[in-house]
Amino acid sequence: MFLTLFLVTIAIFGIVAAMPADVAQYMLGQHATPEALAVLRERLGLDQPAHIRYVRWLTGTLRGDLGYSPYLGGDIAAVLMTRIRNSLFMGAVGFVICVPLAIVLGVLAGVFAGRLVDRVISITSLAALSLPEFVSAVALTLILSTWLGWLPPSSLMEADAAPWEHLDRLILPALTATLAILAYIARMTRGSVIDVMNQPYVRTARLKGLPRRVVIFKHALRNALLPTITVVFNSMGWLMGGLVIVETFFAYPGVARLLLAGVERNDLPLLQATTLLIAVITLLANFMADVAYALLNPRIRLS
Amino acid sequence: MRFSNPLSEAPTVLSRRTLLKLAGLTTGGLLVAACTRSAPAPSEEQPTPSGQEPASKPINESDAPAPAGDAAAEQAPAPADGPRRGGRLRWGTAREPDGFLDPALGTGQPLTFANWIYEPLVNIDETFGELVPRLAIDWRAEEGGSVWEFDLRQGVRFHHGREFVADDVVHTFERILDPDFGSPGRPVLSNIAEVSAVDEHTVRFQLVAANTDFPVSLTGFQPKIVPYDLTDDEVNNEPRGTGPFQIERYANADRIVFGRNPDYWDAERPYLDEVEVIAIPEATTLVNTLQAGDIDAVDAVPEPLMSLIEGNPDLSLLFGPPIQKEYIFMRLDVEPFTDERVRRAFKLIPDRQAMAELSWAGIPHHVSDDNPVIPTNPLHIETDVWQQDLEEARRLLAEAGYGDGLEIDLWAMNDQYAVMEFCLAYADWARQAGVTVNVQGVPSDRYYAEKWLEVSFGTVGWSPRTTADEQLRIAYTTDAQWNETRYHDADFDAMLDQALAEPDTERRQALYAELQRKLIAEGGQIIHAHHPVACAVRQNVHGYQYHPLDSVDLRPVWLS
Repeated sequence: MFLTLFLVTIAIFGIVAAMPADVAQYMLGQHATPEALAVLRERLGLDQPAHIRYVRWLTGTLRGDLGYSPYLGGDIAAVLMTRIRNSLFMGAVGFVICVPLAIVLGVLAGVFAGRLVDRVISITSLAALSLPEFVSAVALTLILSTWLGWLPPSSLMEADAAPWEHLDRLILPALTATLAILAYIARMTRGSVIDVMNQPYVRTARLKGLPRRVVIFKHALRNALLPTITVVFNSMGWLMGGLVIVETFFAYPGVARLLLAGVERNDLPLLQATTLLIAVITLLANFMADVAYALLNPRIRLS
Repeated sequence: MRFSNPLSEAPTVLSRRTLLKLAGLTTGGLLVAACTRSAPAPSEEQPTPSGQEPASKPINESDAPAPAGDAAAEQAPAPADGPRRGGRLRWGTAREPDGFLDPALGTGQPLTFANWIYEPLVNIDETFGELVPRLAIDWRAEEGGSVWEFDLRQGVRFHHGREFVADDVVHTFERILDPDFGSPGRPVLSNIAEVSAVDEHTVRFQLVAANTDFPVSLTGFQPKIVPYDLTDDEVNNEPRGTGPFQIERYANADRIVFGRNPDYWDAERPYLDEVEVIAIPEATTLVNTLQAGDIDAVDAVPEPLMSLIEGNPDLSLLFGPPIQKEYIFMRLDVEPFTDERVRRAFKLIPDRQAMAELSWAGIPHHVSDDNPVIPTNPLHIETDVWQQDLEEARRLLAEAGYGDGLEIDLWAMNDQYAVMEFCLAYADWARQAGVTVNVQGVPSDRYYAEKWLEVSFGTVGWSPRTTADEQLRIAYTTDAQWNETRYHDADFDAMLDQALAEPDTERRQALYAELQRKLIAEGGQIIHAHHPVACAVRQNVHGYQYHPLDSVDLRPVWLS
């Protein structure tokens, strides 16, 4: 994992360095004189060759110094920590709502495979799965906020406010961000439930006269949920990508909105820091998925 | 006053380019191209007039004709019991502020805030019709307009307590004019040879060439007075001006809280105690949030969302004056437009009235006769040169050798409101005159980067310029960088210079009228309408008015 992380830092730095953007130009504006630009570049260390800048950035990052962002007008590290906390909290809210819901729906569809309940759940989840976030964001806002008036249309809150005090403002973005994941997990669960229900041991359990409830919950579900748990962890990485659109749409002060601001303003230090952080989280989520799978599946043992 | 590319003034929330860049950078991310319609480009910064300002002055210090009647900007209705002091205005914007508050360095959104903190010598009203005194109370031209003296307002204090004096003005302009400082305001003000303090409360500008519009160039974004005892870093990071508000809190750039300046020179105003700036990048969410009551005002409302506000009794949609334009143009130095008959034919093809109605139905617009000078400018003339005449167009084209038909691509910005629609309408009429027009839609950012100054038949959007001179100079003189039509005419150039230096009001008006008539008859621009930008407020917000440069002057705004 550390090797991957190292390669990721090189990739991020390489891509950002190859971009035609120039922080000094951004800070001084398009009418800046070449002399003023040269002075600022020197001050920012931009006149150094790429490998030296890379080592400098890497060592700084390891020490927790993510650099200075002209957009934020200050150090990145402090702001980034609040933002990532906000994003993770919103993701957590989304998972808390979506995962149990998805599993229930998936089990229902799986148990009643081919019946009306299954048809409705399958078709709806397929539709939800195919909707990009910016469409589902508009649709959910229209239904839950504009028509029903249950939820506020945006996630307005101060970046350093505690997001758990504004739970009502988190539900819409959290739902939007995890809607596709919900659908995906539901479909996964349905598939494995059907699969497990046809296994000989389940058939045996049913044949020996156990009530259907006991068969499903005691025998089938345990095995059926195994792949689902892996999917849940893997979805976390996917969630980070979707956040760019969701946070921008709902004006939520999370890390992805910071990433977008960095891109729009050619704020390269900010861009590097946010991208790296998202990469780290994605890697961690995948790592956790592997660990969880290993722990739950007796056939895999970590040596 | 502004010279940024029109493109840079149209903020796109998630532009194509941004997404492409993102796609390459997000690890494990799933990105779907979200194309958000860009908000109309409201501009930056310049305070508005207000009913209580001391007498305002017509530009040019002349008895210029009153601004066009249909230009009256709408203002939020005010109850009879008059303004009330206090309250916090939650001001929503789709344009996220960034870290720059130094007025001399800014070009965009931050200038709106810099404008609440720092003040210029002179403001221009929202119709660009009249100058309004701000830190200067009076001014006069000497030596035929090559020397200008400004009397400064007395008893004005900066936020840190020191009195505002002439040396602050000198410092401000020397800073902008310093080539090493790199202010984007320098090119427009480069006509200033020297700024000097005559006494504590009088400043003198010595110009390189006489300019009767000189006070207008002080209404631009950058020349806001900064105190001479602040370092450049402090101007940006710990701003202290003379303005009606000062920064109380700057939180991570997406939220800024401004507090009332208790020592503001206008004892009565501003009425608001606090202003909270809230950035919501997605316009639909911004308008939804206004409807939900979480914000009180929205700085600009994109046209497709206007109906949402009009249908809501809690909200008011406030239109600015009709001074924005998007239109079709021909490039005169390439085939087939090198032939004067073809140009005339193409100008005879559209029904401008119908085209304007198609683009701006329900929005108070001004039908144009290919005149780039905005209708609220005192020098604007009304003409009636171009009427649709498809028969004549067909005859002219046949005469020019295109009797068997002509096929041409019309390049259009496909993400700008109404542009594709009016281009298709043009194509429809063109077919009746025997011309096949293929409308080619391109997203704005790519269009302005690759097509705008290259194509022979295209579209363009211009944000308003404060003076007739600037409007004509920036796009129609021979050496203008942004001369999209390649209108090159030595007589026109000379007459424009002559008009700018002409001190006599009547002769000057006659010159500008002649310039407009010449351009309407000969130019490659096909301008069918000027239209406004709209902002929106909740019903408890009063005195709010859209301003094309400043977004809004918050001094007359109050809450009930």
